[in-house]
Amino acid sequence: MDPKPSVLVLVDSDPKSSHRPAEATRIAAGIAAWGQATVNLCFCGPAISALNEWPEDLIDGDTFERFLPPIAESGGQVAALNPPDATGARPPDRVDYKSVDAAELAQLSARATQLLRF
Amino acid sequence: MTRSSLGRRSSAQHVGRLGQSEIAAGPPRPIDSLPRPEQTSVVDLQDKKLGLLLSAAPDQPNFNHGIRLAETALAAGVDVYCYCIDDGVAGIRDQRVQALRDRGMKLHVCAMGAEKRGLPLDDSAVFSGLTVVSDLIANTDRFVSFN
Repeated sequence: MDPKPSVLVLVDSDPKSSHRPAEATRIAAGIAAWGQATVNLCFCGPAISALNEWPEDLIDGDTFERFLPPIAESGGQVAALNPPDATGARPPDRVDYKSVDAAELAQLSARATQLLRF
Repeated sequence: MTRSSLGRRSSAQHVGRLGQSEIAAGPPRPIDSLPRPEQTSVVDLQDKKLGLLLSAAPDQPNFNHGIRLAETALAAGVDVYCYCIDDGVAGIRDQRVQALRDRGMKLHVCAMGAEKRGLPLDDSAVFSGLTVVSDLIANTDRFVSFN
């Protein structure tokens, strides 16, 4: 068993109307940066727009560009639960993320020693 | 330090609780045959460490849940470390929070969140960064988040 704690940050609030997805992303990156825990971040429902909408359309939108890459660089995973297919109207994905289904999210949850939900 | 199973043990050995095997054992037993409190061991929580992350605003139910957990843990002799972040930073001057601090709870608050909300840096809490959250996750026996 990995002696490192594994933190799953689950975000399901809407970044178009709430600052919490951006704050959750900052917190996830801040924890991951110290290397004491593996941090996975999963966006669900309306939160997925944090990954595929223009930053100026989101509250604290620049936070996502700034803090999502370090999570992956620290060995964690950025994921989205059943994201919609990209359309031409959307900007290119700003970060690499993994599309997961409910079963894969359940596996992430099962492996996590801590769950933070925003 | 071991990252022990503070919560798991406490639920498995909770006074008067039935274990899973007993739950699955079949038809209900007469109340007299249930284990009495004196027949079960009580988990010693002295010197255990509990980390709390409070990101809910003070007027939200989850903030109150966190406070109640801290109260209960302190009463049981647990070392409680509380980190207020996001909307939770507004709660550091809450009377209940300061009372818990007086009882020994270590109170930290996100310095960036406090600055963003215009809270003055004073001695009501230790203003710190996310390294403290990382330390709490890695070094407490149980870390619980109230969002």
